[in-house]
Amino acid sequence: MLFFIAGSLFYVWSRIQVIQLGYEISNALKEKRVLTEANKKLRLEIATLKSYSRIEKLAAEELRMAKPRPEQVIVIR
Amino acid sequence: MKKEPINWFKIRIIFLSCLLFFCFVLILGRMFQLQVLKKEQLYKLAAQQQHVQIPLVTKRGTVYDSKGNELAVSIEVDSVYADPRKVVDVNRTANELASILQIDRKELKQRLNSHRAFEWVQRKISSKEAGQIKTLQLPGISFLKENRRFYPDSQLAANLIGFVGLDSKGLEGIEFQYDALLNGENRVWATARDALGREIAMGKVPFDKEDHYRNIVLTIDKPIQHITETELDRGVEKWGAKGGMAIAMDPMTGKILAMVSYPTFNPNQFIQYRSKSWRNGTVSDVFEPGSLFKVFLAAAALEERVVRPSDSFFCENGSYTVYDRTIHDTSKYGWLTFQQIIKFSSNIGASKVGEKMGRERLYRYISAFGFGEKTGINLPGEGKGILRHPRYWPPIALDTISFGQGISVTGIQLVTALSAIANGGFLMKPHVVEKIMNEKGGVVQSFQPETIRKVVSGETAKKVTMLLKATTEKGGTGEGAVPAGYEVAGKTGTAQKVDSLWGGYSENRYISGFMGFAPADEPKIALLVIIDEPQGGHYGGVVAAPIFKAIMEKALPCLHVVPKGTMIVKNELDSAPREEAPGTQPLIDGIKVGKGAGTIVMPDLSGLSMRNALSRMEGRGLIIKVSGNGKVVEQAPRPGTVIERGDICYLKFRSPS
Repeated sequence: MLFFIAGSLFYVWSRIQVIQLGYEISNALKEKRVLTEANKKLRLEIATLKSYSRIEKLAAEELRMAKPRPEQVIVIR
Repeated sequence: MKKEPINWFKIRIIFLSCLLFFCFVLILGRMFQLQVLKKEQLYKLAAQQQHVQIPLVTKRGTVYDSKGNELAVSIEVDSVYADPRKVVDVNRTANELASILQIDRKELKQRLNSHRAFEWVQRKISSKEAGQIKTLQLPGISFLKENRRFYPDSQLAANLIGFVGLDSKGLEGIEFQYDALLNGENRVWATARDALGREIAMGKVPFDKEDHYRNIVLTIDKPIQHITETELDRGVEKWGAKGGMAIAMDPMTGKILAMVSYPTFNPNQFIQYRSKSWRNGTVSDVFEPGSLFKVFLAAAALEERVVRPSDSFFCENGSYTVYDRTIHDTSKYGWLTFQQIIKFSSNIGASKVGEKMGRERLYRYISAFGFGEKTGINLPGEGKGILRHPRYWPPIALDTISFGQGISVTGIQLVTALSAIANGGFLMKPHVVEKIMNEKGGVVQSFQPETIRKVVSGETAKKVTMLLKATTEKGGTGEGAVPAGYEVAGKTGTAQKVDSLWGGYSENRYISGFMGFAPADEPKIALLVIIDEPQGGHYGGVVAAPIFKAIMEKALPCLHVVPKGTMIVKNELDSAPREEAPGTQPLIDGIKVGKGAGTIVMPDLSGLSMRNALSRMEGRGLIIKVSGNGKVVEQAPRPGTVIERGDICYLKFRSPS
């Protein structure tokens, strides 16, 4: 009898655990989706900031850089 | 008789039993009703409450360049909608929303007063705007996630990539052509929900299933695309032209490195531009190639051995009448060799070569080079040009087609055919998509270089390259197209535009072009530049050649082709451990760089005796000039400079005493 009660209690406990874990999994999945999306947004921001026309403008106007003349180029291998 | 006493107790028991039995029957009946009769209906109801199906936003694949830079990305953004029946204070709601989103207040109010259950307020708003609206907690105003397409480089390759409409549908370019692949299916995320509405993962965990949308990797090289775009824009503006185009291709593989069409637009705000700017003129616009076409006449004539480069033709002093038409040259020429005909771009000379070829043969080569049919690049709206069968050519056509009149081509056809000259006679299928990948990064389909046919022999291709090299030499029409330190093979072209109003050729509307490849002996880029209706100058050599030069000058170093005279220095730190490996020689010692290019790096000879110095310079085809005797004290070019076969090296010796 005691054995039976212990067994059924264990069963109930395990069911509760399963449901508890179910909550956790679904929260984790939700978080994953949010983070993936955030990551994508950040990557887009990087790509936008890396845009050549923007960098070229910054280099030429703010930093006063210019394209090197051929004789100013030394290739290092 | 004795009245038997009524056994109340018994009656009570019977009554209670009946009651209990009745209740039992009732419960049983109800159970039967719920479990059996209404089973289906209730199951459904329960499923509806417990299981939620969250529709996931349709994802759309990313478009990358060949180096993995993102060119088109989809991001989830919020769209605001209203349920007008639940809106409490229409005036306040409309005011708040209109001021945050900067939309028309009156019109919004009208929509909020409607009796429908769903009204868009504004679609695809920024996260800042969404945050502001969310803090207001307006009743009846809700959000939906939608995908919005972003183009981080704005107008970079816009005409090639195209754009996406409001409903995630590709409307132009790559976005249109590969729409079905880029767009994922509409997916739902099925999950269970408890009484409080929290989500529980039950049974199978809904991990993302695979294979829903595809990413597309283009062959475009972002730096080269940017260079080509900037220089073409500059050129078009400088000449006040109506438009222009440029295509850069890897002649060996048929990969498109850059594809630019002008006018262009910003795909992030495509709606603000005229639809004319959305077109990709490089594949859709047809035009008469003019003198550019002489390249293919030369290839055909040399392949058929109709002429040799040294054969002479009389160029009629600039005016040559065939049937009812007179052909003119821009300068008057007497006798010219075939090489000079190409170099000075004589129409009369070209006509006479064409006459020697004959219609059928010329036609055979023109179509073998891919004119008159689509190249199969797989972009929307590709034109095939106009090439009629020789049966329908008017008598004059043989002469005019020889110098590029009376035939219409597209830009992509020209650069593909030119690549066949550059790569030794193989017509490659141009392609702009390198591979298609699934969302996990695995390659689904990759496009390999594809040879359509062999058009001319390698020997002929080499001869034509020689002719084209002569064109860019001093005195040739393409002189202005050569960047310092490189050898270019190319051809200019100037074509009068056909006047659509009056028929015949327009007097003041031209197309100026230049096409060529570099480095001439081991081509890395085949490039076509076309300027449509330049003002104040129209010769291809004046208008298009400098643009060609500017693009090549900056694009070739991107492919690790350095100009002659560049110093190459060994990186001591980097190569120190490498030297231990057997078989690696230090670069500075004059070993070849690149494969078979004939590029040699000038060795450091200082302090060597004459015999040692000369033995190290021997066998490289260099012309060595020596002065003095003893040990080397001075040398030109400096050590580490790229030199070529046939270059002159000066060595100065002095005795140590």
